[in-house]
Amino acid sequence: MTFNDFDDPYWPLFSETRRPSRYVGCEWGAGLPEKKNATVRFCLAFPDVYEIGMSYVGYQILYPLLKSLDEADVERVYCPWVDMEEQLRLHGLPLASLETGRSLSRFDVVGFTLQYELSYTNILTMLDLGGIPLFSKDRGDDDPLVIAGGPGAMTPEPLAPFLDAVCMGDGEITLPAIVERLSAAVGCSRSEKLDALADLPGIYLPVRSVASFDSAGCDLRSSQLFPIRRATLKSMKGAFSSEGLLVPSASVVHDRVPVELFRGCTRGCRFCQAGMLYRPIRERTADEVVEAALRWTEKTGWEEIGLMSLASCDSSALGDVVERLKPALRERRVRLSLPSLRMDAFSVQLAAALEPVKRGGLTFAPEAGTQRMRNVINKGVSEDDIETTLEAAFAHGWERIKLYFMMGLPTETREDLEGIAKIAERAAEIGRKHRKRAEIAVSVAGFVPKPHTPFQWERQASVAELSERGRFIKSLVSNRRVTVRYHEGEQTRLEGIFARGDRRLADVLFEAWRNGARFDGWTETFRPDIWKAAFEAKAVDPEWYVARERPRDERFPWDHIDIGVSRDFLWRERERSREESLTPDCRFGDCNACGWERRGCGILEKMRAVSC
Amino acid sequence: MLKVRIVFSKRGRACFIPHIALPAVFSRSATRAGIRFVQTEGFSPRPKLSLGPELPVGIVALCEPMDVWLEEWRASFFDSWQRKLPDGFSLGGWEEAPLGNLGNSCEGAEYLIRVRDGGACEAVRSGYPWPEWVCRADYDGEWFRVVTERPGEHGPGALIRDLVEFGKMSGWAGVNVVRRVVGRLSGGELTGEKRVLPLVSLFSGDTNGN
Repeated sequence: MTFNDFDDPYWPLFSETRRPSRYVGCEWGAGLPEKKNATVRFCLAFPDVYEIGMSYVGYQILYPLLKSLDEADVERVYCPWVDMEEQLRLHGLPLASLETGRSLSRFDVVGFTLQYELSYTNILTMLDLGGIPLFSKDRGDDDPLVIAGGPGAMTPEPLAPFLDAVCMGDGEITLPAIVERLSAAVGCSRSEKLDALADLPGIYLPVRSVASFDSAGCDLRSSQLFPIRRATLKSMKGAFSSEGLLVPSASVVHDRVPVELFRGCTRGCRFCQAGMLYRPIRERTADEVVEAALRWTEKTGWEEIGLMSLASCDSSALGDVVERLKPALRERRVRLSLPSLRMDAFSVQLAAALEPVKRGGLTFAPEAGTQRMRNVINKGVSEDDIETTLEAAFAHGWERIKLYFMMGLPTETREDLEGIAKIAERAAEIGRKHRKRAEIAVSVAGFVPKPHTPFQWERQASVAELSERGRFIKSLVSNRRVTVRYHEGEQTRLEGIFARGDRRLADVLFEAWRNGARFDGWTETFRPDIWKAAFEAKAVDPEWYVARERPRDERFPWDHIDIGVSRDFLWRERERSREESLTPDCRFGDCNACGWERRGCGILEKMRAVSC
Repeated sequence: MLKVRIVFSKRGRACFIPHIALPAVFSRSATRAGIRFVQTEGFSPRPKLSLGPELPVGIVALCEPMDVWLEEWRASFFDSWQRKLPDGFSLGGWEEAPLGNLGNSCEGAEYLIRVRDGGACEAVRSGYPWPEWVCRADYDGEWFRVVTERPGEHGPGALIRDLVEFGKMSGWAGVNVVRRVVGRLSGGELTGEKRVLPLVSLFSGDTNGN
């Protein structure tokens, strides 16, 4: 009897780690044959654990996209949890791709997605375990190019010394262009390969720039022409849509078919970075959405479809899509879910259409407790919207509603915090009217001012302030059907530091990682003491990044990145927030001159076409 | 509604996909193959499927039973389902409308256990007190062949933990375990050595490894 299963050198490591299913693959859709003649071997790297990374829609698009290119082949890797990191080091084995077990150092390109500032130390872990020198300057011609994309790529300076290239914009544009250039540069030196990428749209080469700092802010000089403009798909019509998807065998956070309704959002919530970064709005047609949803359901066997977007209710095609999908999905016993719902657009009809998905509950984000504060943040949700939505949801059978709020928002008062408790109590009251077991789960996150938003100039609330405010909200809620959770301030603070950070933080990041900082976004592994020591050791004052309101003309370390929305617009919006003025969504009113009006805004073009 | 009993194997890295994830692996692959499960009743309907005794991760499994309730079954479905399974999973055989409940039918399980460390292996061979629910334990120079009764009550987890402790091994990595088959117990005092037979009549798999 022979069992070569046990000859796998990683087998003992799997046996000694928690949740080994994170590392074994065995997915449907990933077993495509390796392309032996590929000239550019790409590894998509996700700097968090498998179950989070497999829920990321981006790789469900980019993986098959890269696979479809003749010159490229693609594999994936996720960050090993601390126990697996220990095992890899103990056994002297490299971090390797899921598909073929190839060490990261043997790829041509390792591409990270930057979804969350608190996963940055994980990038260093993965490079180190993969046998790739951490700093770009230390890499040789045989080492892979380390690139990064995602929202964090629009503020990449804290990671600048570790990255060779940064991709800004839609991967459907940047990745095929990178593959084409690198394919033509096979056998070239590292520097020549970077030269080949330098003039591509949306590509920033941190290694070609020098940063200096003075009292007015950050100054970046580069051989590249600044600003770097984000590469944007003009329309989703005909945009790449894969034949199938990757289906995990182990459970993941979002275990469903992800179907993109549209990209971008013009609601203009002033705290929301995604709403500013991903403009303009580009919708998929109802035909495309329905066709993809049915195709992927059949090809994957998933029991649920999630219609994804920044605010799914805003899709003009949604009603049509739901109506057309309903009978087919009922017949196939597939559930439909809308993960991002707005309280001002949730309708009774939608509640009825989604009824079969009750199991998971419904989530809404009023974000703030009073109308005044919702005006400050431009969250156009009224008290009536909240009441109507909760009535509709409970009346249609949901028993558990999750409500997301923020604390520490600019101009926040005690009354705004009391408002959160009031909404929660009122929600429980409405729920009780319809369902005996109605439950309200309130989650309150500390507000983090993000770059490229109207609040990029704001001071961030301190750890003590957030902690005090969280306790205060909790103390106001007495209803047993309501649970209140708030995030720990230390992690929020670190997220804020890196969100608006500059290149000086790279040293701090390296120091913290060297001293054991891992999975900083996870409460069980986050070690504030390590970070405190790292800031001290590198003589960097963390408070400088978060504890001050920034002057209007401060030079930001992300000023060299042009996302399409202008700084003037952001400042105007910041001023309007102080006046508690709402700025209407330009889809339903006048153009707000966000910057896109000068470079091909679909909404404006549609309006012009109608008026002609 | 038709009950079909299937036996399957879990090999290679798929051995680390937990038991709890298997219903989704099988129901999704069946859907991809165009095979329709009957749904359970109740508030959260799901594909009706019943797995055999729990199998901890890290154990190679060659002949595991499960019952599935389908709207329709044709012999050709077996191959189409097989083609839609993820790497490491394979169907070994089937039987339509089997008699009896799966749990009661699983009378025994047969394991192959290899203790990697020579010293620990010798210690187990010469002095390990096998529990009363182990009805056979032979050693062939490399593998212990162990037959257990009532696998639903006595899984391999506790046995391996005990062996690891007894042999003073560093952990599970020191032991290789194969569950060859879960099924009916045969043999005994009158008919010879205890063996475990697969639960389906159309078994086409291999319980001897590669």
